[in-house]
Amino acid sequence: MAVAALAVLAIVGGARAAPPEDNILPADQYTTDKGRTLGAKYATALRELNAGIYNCMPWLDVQRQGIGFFRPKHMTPPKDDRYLSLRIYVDQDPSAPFSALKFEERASAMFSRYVGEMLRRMTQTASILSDPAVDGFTVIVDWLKQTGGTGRPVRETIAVFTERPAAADYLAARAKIADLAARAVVFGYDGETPLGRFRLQAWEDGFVKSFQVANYQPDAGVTCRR
Amino acid sequence: MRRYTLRPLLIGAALIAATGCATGEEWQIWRSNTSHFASSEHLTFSVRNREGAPTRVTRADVALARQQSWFGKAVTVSQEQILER
Repeated sequence: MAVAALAVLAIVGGARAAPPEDNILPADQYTTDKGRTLGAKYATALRELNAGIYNCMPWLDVQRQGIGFFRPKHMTPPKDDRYLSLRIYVDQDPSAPFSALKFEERASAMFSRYVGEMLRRMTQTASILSDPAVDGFTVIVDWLKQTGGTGRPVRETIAVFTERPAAADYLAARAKIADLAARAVVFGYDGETPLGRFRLQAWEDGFVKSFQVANYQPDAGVTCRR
Repeated sequence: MRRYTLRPLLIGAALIAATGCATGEEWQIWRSNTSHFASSEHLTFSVRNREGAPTRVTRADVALARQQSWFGKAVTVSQEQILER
């Protein structure tokens, strides 16, 4: 694990491994000028986010149109608050201890493992974090539910919404991951069924800084570093 | 009398506690193990890697393995339920 991958992607020239371009919401599909403007302004940052996860965290799968400046649907009254959003599916082995946990516990585990790291990646272009037009960040994490059945697979999901100041405090180490969880709005889903809002525990989890897919080597021209 | 009516309730509560959620030990195992659940170790990469040759897994191998282990479209919340464009 000494040679750990991840965290920051640096393209050092040469051929680039290409992630699916439709992981990013096209600028012409935003419904407001604010969304379109942010999508265009940070187009390069969104492509780098997409490429970084694709090349350096291959056990994650960014969902189609899972990256963009979306409007959280739960906000009332509805307003054009734009959150930089990322939706990932975690491809993980079945685990009896994990599936024995309550949903809130699985959600807490996934929050602890991925949300902080994704926020770090989403703000590699530092100006995103200080741009008043960016109201916050959304991280949606999906994983496979262990049902034991033979029917269609079912995914569990958490959608985490964090206002920009809360994310900034965490990323500047002024707040811990537990504080971030306390300030975040988190909704859970079992397949298509909303489970409501949850208050999650969170703890430091260094998994993504140390984990590597066995024998994985990024493609030529791509360097993943911590 | 009261003693007899309470006993099934207590047994039931104990069973729920034992089976309905993770035990403290299970939770501890999960939290202390940083690598056993999130991995793609189950993916097989037999195309590129031949006997005796150094093992190498590329991003294309991962994509191919994921495609091969695809069990159909999963039931999941749509993005439109959570976010608006």
